[in-house]
Formats: sequence, structure tokens, C-alpha cells
Amino acid sequence: MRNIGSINRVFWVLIGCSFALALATSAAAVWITSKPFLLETQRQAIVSQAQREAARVDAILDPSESLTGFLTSEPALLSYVLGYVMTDDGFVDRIENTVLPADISEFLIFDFSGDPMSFHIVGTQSQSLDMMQVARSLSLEVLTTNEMTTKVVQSHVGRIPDRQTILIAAPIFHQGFAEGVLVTVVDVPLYNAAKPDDVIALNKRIVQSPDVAHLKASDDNAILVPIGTTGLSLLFTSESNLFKTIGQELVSKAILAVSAALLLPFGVFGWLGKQTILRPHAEVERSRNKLREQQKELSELAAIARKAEEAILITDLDTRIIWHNPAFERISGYSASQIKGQLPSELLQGKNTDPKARATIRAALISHTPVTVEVLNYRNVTEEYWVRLSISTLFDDLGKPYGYMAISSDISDRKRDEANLLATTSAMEWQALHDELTGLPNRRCFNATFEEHCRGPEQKPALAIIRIDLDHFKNVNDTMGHEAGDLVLCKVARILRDATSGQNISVRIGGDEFIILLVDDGSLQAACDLAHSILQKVAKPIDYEGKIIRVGASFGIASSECQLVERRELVRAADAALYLAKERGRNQVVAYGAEEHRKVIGVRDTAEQIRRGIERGEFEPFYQPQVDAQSREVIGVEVLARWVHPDRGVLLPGSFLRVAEQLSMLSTLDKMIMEKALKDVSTLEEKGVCLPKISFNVTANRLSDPDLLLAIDQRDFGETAVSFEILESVFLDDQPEFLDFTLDLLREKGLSIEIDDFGSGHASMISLMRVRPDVLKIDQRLVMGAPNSRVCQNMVRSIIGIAESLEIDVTAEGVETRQHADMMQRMGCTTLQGFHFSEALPFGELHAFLKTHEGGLRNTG
Amino acid sequence: MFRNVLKILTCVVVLGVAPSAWADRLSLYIDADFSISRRAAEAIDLGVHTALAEVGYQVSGIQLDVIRKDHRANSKRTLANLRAFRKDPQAIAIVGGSLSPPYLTNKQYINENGILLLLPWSAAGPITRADAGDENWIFRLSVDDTKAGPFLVSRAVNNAQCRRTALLLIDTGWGRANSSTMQEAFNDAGQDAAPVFMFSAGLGTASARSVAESMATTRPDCVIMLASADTGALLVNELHEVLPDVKIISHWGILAGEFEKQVSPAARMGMHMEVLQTCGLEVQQRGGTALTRALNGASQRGTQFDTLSDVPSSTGFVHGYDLTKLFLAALEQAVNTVEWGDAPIAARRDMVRLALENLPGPIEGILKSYERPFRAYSMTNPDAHEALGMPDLCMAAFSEARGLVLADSVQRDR
Repeated sequence: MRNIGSINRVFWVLIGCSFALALATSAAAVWITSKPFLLETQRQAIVSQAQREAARVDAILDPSESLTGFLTSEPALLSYVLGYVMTDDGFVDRIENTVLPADISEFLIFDFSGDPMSFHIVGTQSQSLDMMQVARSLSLEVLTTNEMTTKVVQSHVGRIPDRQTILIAAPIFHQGFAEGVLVTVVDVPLYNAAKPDDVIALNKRIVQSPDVAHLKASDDNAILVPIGTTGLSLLFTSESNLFKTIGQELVSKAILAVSAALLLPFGVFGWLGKQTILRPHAEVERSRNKLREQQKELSELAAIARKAEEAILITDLDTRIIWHNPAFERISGYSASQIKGQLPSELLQGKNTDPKARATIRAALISHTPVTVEVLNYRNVTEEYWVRLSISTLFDDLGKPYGYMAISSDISDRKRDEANLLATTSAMEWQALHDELTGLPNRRCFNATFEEHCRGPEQKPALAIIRIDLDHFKNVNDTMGHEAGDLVLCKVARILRDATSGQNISVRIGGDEFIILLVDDGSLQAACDLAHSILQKVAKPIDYEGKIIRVGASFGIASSECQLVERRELVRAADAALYLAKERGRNQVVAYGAEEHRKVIGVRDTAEQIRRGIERGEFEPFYQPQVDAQSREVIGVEVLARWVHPDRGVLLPGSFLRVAEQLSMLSTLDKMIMEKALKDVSTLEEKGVCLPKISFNVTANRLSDPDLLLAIDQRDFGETAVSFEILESVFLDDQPEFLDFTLDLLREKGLSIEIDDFGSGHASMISLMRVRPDVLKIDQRLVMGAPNSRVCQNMVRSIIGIAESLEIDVTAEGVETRQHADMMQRMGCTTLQGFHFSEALPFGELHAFLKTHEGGLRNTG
Repeated sequence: MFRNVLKILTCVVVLGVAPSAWADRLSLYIDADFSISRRAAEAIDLGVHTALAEVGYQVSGIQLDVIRKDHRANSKRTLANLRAFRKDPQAIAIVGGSLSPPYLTNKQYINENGILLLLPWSAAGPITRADAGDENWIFRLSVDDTKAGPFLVSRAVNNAQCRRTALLLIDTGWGRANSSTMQEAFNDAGQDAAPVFMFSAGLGTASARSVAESMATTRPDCVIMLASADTGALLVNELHEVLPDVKIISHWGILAGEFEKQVSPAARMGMHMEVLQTCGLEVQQRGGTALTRALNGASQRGTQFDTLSDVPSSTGFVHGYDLTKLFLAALEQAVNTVEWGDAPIAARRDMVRLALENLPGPIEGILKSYERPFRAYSMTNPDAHEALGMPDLCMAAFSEARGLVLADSVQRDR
């Protein structure tokens, strides 16, 4: 027996087949009757389009023919073809001064024998060899017929051309005789590429009129249309879609119309069949199936509800419980008998249940809309727990509500976790922005707050920064322990906290450094007043375990009121003021005023100039000669750094060394000077002048620089000895540990060591013995003071005595007069250096000095 | 077997006889404008044939053929003719036509390829002056523009007493070459540079009018004209309209065609038109046996010529005749040398060239008796290939009745 599905299918297939057959026979009838009419329509459309096309091509060729004829009478062209002039410049001038039709691409000139003489491309199309051959044979033809002739170049055999080349050849007459031919090459666009929306795709080709070779016998649609009086024709072969398109359209419309006509009777037939045959079968089958499915569904739901972790309740419309699952008993703590018939709101909710949540539930029940809330319930009246409760209304088959279903799950654990997380997060945030020891806001907090106040327009109320640094706080930590230090910091913090209110904040930015940000009244005066009052309070003694602790503080203040720097720069300005306060003796308040600003800018300028000077190589070595005390021969030079400033001239180290040191550029500078000096010595050697010795001033740190030793190793001179002058202060007790090692290394490399400014420091004899220098250089203050001071003389004698006992040489610096020179010589100095002999000289002058020095140059050999 | 022997014998006879048969004939080309300036070309042709007929078209047993080549006033056609000549193993020399441009244009080709060219009419100065380093293969028995230009200027300045002379020149190598020569002559005569009007070889009526009107703005009293017959006629007609009183002194290019038929006697006479000539008319005036013989010879060719004026474009006839006489003398001299027998055609042309440069005199011509007319050419002897000079130039005028007459006799007629 067939089931209802297969009966249905067979019924509808039969209906469909009948419908299709009716449509097919109708379409065939329409097609057969309309075909002749369609073919005629297509032909007429093609002829009409072909005539338009031929007129278009004629409109292109006609002016070109006229122009060609006109140009052949050009005298310059005639002179050219007759050979009277060797170039066709005159003709070229003519065509360049003539407005040519756009489709002309080239002019070709042939002589009396049909040989090509020249060509002139005026268009963008490049022509082929085929075209040239055709042009040549055409010119021969014209020379025979003496008539203008138009010819098409058939260079597109086998394919449909998109454009074709037409040659217009006209004889160039001289006294009635054709002595040359002018051929005009015209590119005629044919637009054969069919557009997507073209109904008729006409394939065009220009042919000579008598030439119908291209007309395929098999092509019924081929049409030949003459192009004006050119002797050419357009040959059209259509690949027309018109017939196909119109045919398709006609048939499809006919089918549509017949479909519409047949639809009604077939529809009625189908409906009646469905109502009387199919439906009764279907109804019975459906009822049976539905019953089976409902039974299955209900049993599955009941099983799920019993096993569910969530509590499930079913109530009637009065919200009295009529069913619940075991999970509800477990979560609520009530037994089945206690639950049955109860109102959940009375059974479960208590004093701390959120009234808003209760109101939400009530509103949803009244409106029968589903609702989900988190609500606090009570287990056995006393124990609180949180549930996530979803209530939805139950409807019968007719859509009428008959009760409610509530599903709830216990979320007490999650609620607890959330509360804990909130508490922890608040504590961490506070710690991140505050100093743990003092409880003051920290640097991060300050940065954020300060940034906030810097934003926006400059016209905002004035802002001031007070930077505070405790004086000698390190001593407190060192002498009394960190606990005492912490006590001091806490006390200062308290003072600061008391002194600030409103939007003003006190900040500990690290160690013993504090900042006060004044927002409410950021004037310079208010800031100074506040700083002084804090200074007084900080200066008061602190009692710690029966001992008195005293600390001071230095204050740097900057206010935007002064308009010296931008708001963002206030901290740096206050820092600069603090630096000045410390420099001026600490325990005082310094405001960043115009004078301070000028100094900062000055230092910054100097720093920038030094940086640029180093880039440009403006630092130069100058050389101060050293002479033998007895023979007065030059025995060496000391290298001294000079800044050859482009505007300020030659500057001494005093004007740049300190800033360079602050910029950590001393080693770069040293390196530059040394490299230049080593190169200068090489240059001198190349000129045949060999310096006996060159000495460099180096710092202790520089001695350990690997670059220094590398530079010395790579020097490319051999005769000149190298010596390093090291300040006596290097040999204080805290001299670097590596110094001994470095000095040994230098000695191994054949370098000598000289102690500079000896007599100005406190080098111990022991350290002097350890170092074993080669020369002691007496401080120039002792030398200059010697003629008038017995003490100085004695000191000099003592130093010479030390040198003698160490068996090393002594150099006297600062020898400015002959008296100095003679005295130092008598006292036993071996070498003299000073203005009496020469000031420090640039390299250019050094050479001249060495040549002209009275005592000459000591022979290095 | 017998057939094979016969074939071999036939080949031997043909191959043996053919060279001697070839060697006994030489061709003389005439490259001239037999289409447009037909009259001038025919006059030259007549002169050449008349001279050849006197020797029976033979020199020392060698038959001479004349081959006509029409260049139609087209330099490129001349070049084609020169190429044909070069390849022709019997071609010994070419007689040129009346126009200068074909030979100005092709001069280098002629000299580089050893083409022996004899010019009975072309007047442009540079033709017979080879470029430095080139041989010179071109000989002229005609007016030389380096002489004609100064001659025409002298005629204007001294005879016609012109004070404002304009130059009306065809825009070809011939016209341009004369421009500078004549300007120098004006300078030498102490006059300002003459205004120059160039016109194209393909000049039409409208352009001729335009040239005449431009010229009128300079108000000249005389015009020295270098033109072909057709362009000259167009210009003279238009000048007669615009400047009826101007005097025209013309180079002889206008005589190459039917100028006198295209220009009315009123215009020719009213504008006191004079045209350059060599002095054939003077010879006729005084009578000469050579002229009589030549006219008799020419009359044998179909048309009776009693006087030189009866011969159309008589200049071509006179020069063609005289030049052919010189050529025949040179050929005879060359043929009778030992080297001639086996020499290839290129060498034979060279032998004739050398013979022309070393002709012993006298050789009787219509114009005069020629004594060593040519010499070896060098840059220091630029007239070496010129058979005529300044003393051989005369001016002619158009008479209403008798065609050309000596200019001075016209004056006398009045």
C-alpha cells in the first residue's frame, strides 16, 4: 500500500507533466509562425546599420582625399620629388601648419619610379610592412593612371579587424606629368568589438568595390555597401543576435502567456484533487503522528526535569506550587509536603530580599512576560542564599495561560567571589598610586594628576610645583639606621599633608624627594610662602629613642604664573631651581625666575653648541712646546684641547669642559683631540720633522678606555714617543683598582707617565712609588710664585728632591719669563714649559715654530 | 657525336665574335627634358646628330649610337639615367640637357662613378667645379653662371643704367647658386645688395601674381630673372600687369620652351626684355662656313633651316653641335691609343676624359675655332672644364618678326 507521501508525489507529477506538455506545444506553434517575420526584421536592421556605417567611413575618407589632392600641389613637395631640394622640410612645415583630419596617421612620398622617398607619421598608429608594400604598388599604379586612387590594406586576413588602413594615393604633377606620388594613410576605426548589449554584432571589413572575394558564398547575411565615391565598399557579415534575441523573447513571452492561461484550470484541478483525495489521507496520518510525538516529548521532559541540577517549579496562575523537582527540595531545604500549595514568595523570600527584584517578578507575572533576576532567598527562613531565577508563563494549545514555570540555580558562591574581588581590586589600586611608607600619593599618581592639569588651554589658573629634597638625609640613614630615616620621612610627609588641602597634593616621588602640586593657588608668592613655612617645620628637631635628629630641606619652585616655561616643563624648572638651592648651600628656597631661566637656557645652548662642535670637528689639538732646561732644544709638546668656535674664536677648556663633562662627552672629545694630534704628528714626520715626544692629558677613567690603547697602537709614526699626563689627584687613596694594571700595560707599550700639577694634591709617597712615574710636572702656581716667595722656592726644591730620589725628571710648567726659566734651570728642573718659550700653538704654527726655534729640535735618533 | 661537335663550334664562334662586335659600337646618351622643355632637348639632339652625321656616326671604325633619355626636369630621373649609363658596357658619354638642377643634384654621383658628362646648355657654375678630392668628369660648352651672373649684372648696371635691380630666381640649386654670384657682382659694381625673390619650380598663376606684387613693393626699375620657360612666362605676364615699366634681363632658361608663344609681344617688347645668349647670332650676322655646314647638315634631318634664327632654341643646336665635335676629336684621340683595345668601358671613359683635357687645336665649331678648349681640372684652375668664357656671351632680344635677334641690333632697329 502506498503511503500518503508517494500518493502526493504521483498526483503532482501527473499535473506537472500535463502542464509542461501544453506549454511545449504552444511554444512550438508560436516559433513556426513567427520565424519568417523575424528573419526579415533582422535583415532590415542590418541593412540600416550598414548604411549608417558606410556613411560614417565616407565622412572619414572624404576630407582626407580632399587634403591629399590639395597637398600634391604644394610647391615644396614638388621641388622635393623633382630632386631640386634634398629634404622635404617645406612639405613637413606645411602639414605641421595644417589642421589634419584625426584619422590620418601617415604621409608617404614616392618618386617617379614608385620608390619611397620619405614618410611622416602624424598619428599614433604604427604601420606595417604590408601597408608599405601596398602603398608602393599603389604608387606605381597611380604613376601609370595619373589618377587619385584609394586602396584598402587587407592585412587582417582570417580575423575581424577593429580598424583598417586605407591608402589615398594622389599623383604629384609637374607640368602635366606625374613625377611622384603622395600617399595618405588613413586609419579607419571599425568598432568591430561587439558591446555586451549589442543585439546585432556587425562584422565590417572595407574592401575594394570590385573585390568580393571576401563575400563567403555560404554567408547569406553578407551585405556589400559602397562607401561614397571612394571606390571602396563595406562588407558586412553579421553575427546577429537579433533573430536569436527576438525569437527567444517571443517564445518566452508566449510561454509566459500560455502558462498564465493554463494556470487557472490546472490550479483548480489540482486544488480539487488535493481537497478530495489527498487531504483526508493526510489528516488521519498527521493526528496519529502528533499523538506519538507528544507522548514521547512529555516523558523525556519529565525525566530531564527530575535529573536537573536547577530547581524547577510549576505553579498555577495564583502562583501556588503544583509541581517541583527534587533539586528544588535540595536547594530550598524544604520537604515536598512543606512545598505543595505554597506561594514561593512567602516560602522563599525574606527581609533582605531586594524589593526591586520582587517588583520585577510581580510585573512579569502580571504581564506574562519571561523574566530573569538574581534574587536573595532564604533556606528554612534563616539561611540566606542567592539564586538566578527565570520565570516564564505556561500557555495551552489555544494560547491561554494556565500557570508559571520557574527555574532557579544557586549562585551564592559566585556572589561571594565577586564581593571578594571588588575589595581586593580597590586595595591594589590604592597601593599602585600611593607610597607605602608615608601614605602620600606616589610619582605615578603625580604624573597622572599633573598631566591632567597640563591639558587644555594655557589660560587656565596658574599651577605651581614645589620640589623638596631633604638635606643630608643619607647621614640619618647611615648613622641612625633606616628606622630613624623612615620616621623622618613619615614626619615630613605629615607636615606636607597638613600643609596641603583642596586640590593641592603632596607627593613622595622617591627616596627623600617630594613634590607639592599647587592647583588652587598656583602663584609664585603662595608657593614661596608655603615652602618657607614647610622649611621651618621640617627644621624642627625630631626625637628618636632619646636622640635628636635634625634635617634640613632644599626647595625648588616653579610657577606657570611666570610664563617662563610651558606647564609640562614646570617640573624640570623646579628641578633646576632645586639644583641651584643645593648649590647655594642647601636649606633654602629658590624660585625659578628670569635669572635662573637665563642660566638654564645658557647651559642648554652651550651643550647644544658643544654637540654641534663635536659633529663638525671644531675641537682642535693645540701644542705647547717643552724645551730642555740646559740646551733649550725642543724635546716635546703637550697637547691641549681648544675649541675653534666659528663665532667666538679659540676657546679655552674652562669654557666648555664642565658642560661637556655634564653631557658625558668628555671621552668623545678626548678621542677626537687624540686622533687629530696623532695624525698631525704623522704629517710632521712625512714633512721630515720628527717630534721627540708628544704628551696627552688623560683622566683615570679614560686610561681604562680600550679605544685609547687601540688608537695609540694604530698610530702610524715611529719616531715620536708618546706620554700620558695624569693629574696628581688620581693618586689619592681611592684610586681605581685597575690603575696599576693599566699603567703597567702602558709601560709595556713603551709609553711614559707624567704626573701633572704635582704639588697641588695630596699624593702619598707610597702611591707615588707604586706608580713609578717618568716625570713630575711642577704645578705652575709654584713656579710662578717662586721668584717672590721663599716658600714656593722651598716647595720646588722639595719636589725636585723627591724626583731625584725617584731618579726621574722634573718639568716646570708656567715658565713665563726668562727669570722663571733661569731659576728653574738652576734649581735642577730638566724640562721647561710656558709662555716664555711659546703659548699653545695650532698645528699650522707649530711647524713654523719648530723650524725657527732658536734652540732647535732635539734629534730623535 | 657530330651534333656535339657542331654545338661546341657554334659556341666558340659566338663567344669569339661577340666581344669584337660589342667593341665596335659605342653609345652616346642624351639626358634631357624631352617632355616639358622639349624644344631645347630637340635642339641639342639636332646639334649632336648633325655633328655625328658629319662623321657618318663612326670614329676609327667604331659605330656610334645615340640613346635618348627623358628626364622630364626631374633630377631623380636623371639619376636613374646615370645609373643605367653606368651599367651599360657600351655607354661612353652623356650629353646633358638644358636644365642645371639634375646635374647640380647628381654631381657627386657623376664624379664618383666616372660618368663622362658633356653639358651643352646647363649654366649653373658649381656643376663643372668638382668638390675637393673628387675627380672632375663634367665638361661644359655653354654659359657659365660664374660669368653669366656678373655679365647680367653688368648688363643691368652699365648698359640698362638700372639703379634698383631686383633678383627673381627659381628656387633650385641653379637659382640659389646664382644669387650669391650676382650679389657679389652688385657689390663689386658699388651697388647695394639687390632684393631677392625666390619662387618654386612648381609655380602657378596665383603664386606668380603674389611674387609680382611682393616685388612691386620694392619698386625696382630692372629685374634679373632666372626661370624656366613656363615659370618665366607666368612671371613676365604678371610683372607686365603689376610693373609694366620694369626692364627684364633674363638668363636663358626661358629659351628651353615656348616662352615667346606664352608671352605676348607687347609684354616682351614693352618690358625691353633681353635674354642671355652665347654669340651664335653674332656668328650668323657675320657669316661662317661651319654654321652653314651645320645648318645644311641639320636640314638633312627633315626641316629646312636657312638661318640660325630658324632653328628653335638655336642655342642648344649650336652648343650641341660644337660639343659633339670636341667629343669626337677626343674619342678619336683615345681610340687610337694602344691601351684602348682591351680597356673596359670605365677605363675607356677615362681615356676620353683625359683626351678632352688634352685636345690639340684647332677644332672648328659654329661659335669659334677651339684651341685647347679644356684642361686638367684643379682647384686653382676652376675654369678648366669650360669651353666658353665671358667674351663668348651676348644678349639677345625678342623681335616681333624673327624670333631672337642680337640685343644691340634691336636697339639699332629702333
